[in-house]
Amino acid sequence: MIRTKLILARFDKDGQLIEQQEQESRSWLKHLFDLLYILHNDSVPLANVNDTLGNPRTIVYKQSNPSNTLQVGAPPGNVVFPGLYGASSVGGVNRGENFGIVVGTNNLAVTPIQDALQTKIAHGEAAGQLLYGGCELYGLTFANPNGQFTIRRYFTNVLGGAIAVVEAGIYIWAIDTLNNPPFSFCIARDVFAAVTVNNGEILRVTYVPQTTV
Amino acid sequence: MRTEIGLKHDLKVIKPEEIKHLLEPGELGVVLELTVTDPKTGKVTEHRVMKSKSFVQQFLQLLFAKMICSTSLSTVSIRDTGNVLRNVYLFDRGTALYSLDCNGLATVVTHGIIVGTNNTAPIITHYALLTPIAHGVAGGQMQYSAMTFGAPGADATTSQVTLTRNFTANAGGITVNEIGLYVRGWDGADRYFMTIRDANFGGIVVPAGQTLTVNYREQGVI
Repeated sequence: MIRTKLILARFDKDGQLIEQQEQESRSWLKHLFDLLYILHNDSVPLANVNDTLGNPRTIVYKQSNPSNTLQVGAPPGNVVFPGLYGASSVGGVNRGENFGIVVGTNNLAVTPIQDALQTKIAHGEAAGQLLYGGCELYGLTFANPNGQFTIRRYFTNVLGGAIAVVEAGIYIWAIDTLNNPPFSFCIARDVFAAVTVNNGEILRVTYVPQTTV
Repeated sequence: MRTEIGLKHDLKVIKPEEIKHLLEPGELGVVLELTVTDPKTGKVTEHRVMKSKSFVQQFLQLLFAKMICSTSLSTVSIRDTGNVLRNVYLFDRGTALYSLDCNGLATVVTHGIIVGTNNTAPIITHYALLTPIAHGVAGGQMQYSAMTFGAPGADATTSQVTLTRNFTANAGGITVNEIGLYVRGWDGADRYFMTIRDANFGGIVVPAGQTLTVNYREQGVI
């Protein structure tokens, strides 16, 4: 059984912690199981899986183009995935801000069949935007009967005015049968009490999946 | 007694009202459903539904490594079912790479749902069933069918995907005390990893000629 902690921390421009809230994530959406289906089922595609733009895709695990189904690790917001991934760019979707932990401003209740955050905050320096850092994974540890790892991302408000963040989620990578990588899919979404990130402040969002035998 | 075992892969759609709710909100886990059927009469002789409690270390390692991604061999060393540490590829391209494939065909005991006879309680570092039951028609063996997969589904709170395998008992019958899910990875050759091990469910007796159906329903509850 896996339970997941969601930890939200706000820092000032000097890196001093201002506030932190922790809750149990209740976030796993149907698209996680769509992805597990194609991974378990080897080469059998799955039709009508909506990407984060709401477009239905027939996703598949293996194609001749490169993919990494379930990838969460991502470069900073405006950085294109390097190497083979970058060469496979389709419409700029493969920038870092479209994968990994994402945040938004709409606290509509979570349902399992949502395709994306309701109002995702874009990467940038303008009003209403946040700078997305890289999305990192670390801390894979085990001590019987427990195991856990950490997924973490920093978001910086450069000069966008105060932004009330009330939703967070995880976007992952998959390809379709037309060999068109990459598309992003939302596998997790949480809503929470607003964390207001003021100019110059930094928001850190952390997911910690933990398993116990 | 020999029972026909299917090779056909069915895509079964689970209706929302058929999703069983055993997990708590926030949990990502597995429901284990065991059904013993007499194929001569079609009668179900035993049926149990319970929480699977036992994702083991390799599941979290594979999930972690998949989520990190690597275009080369993973830096995460994962113990395979033969007790050898492997660094598998997590980059999917072409036809040779796998990471969580459990699509075992009939007779295949390397990946898919596997059953065994040892009821030792699971610990997180278990890397294989302790006493797996071999495929075959002799006493002490079972006939493994092909894996089948239910299409992912969701109701108002719960999402799931179902993995299924049938096991037919031979002369003398057999008691199944442990169940696991083995998946296939690749590091230049196929490698196999146990991701779930369940035991301590009291054993389930499968009389000669009867079929045990194991459903693993991976679920998430919001």
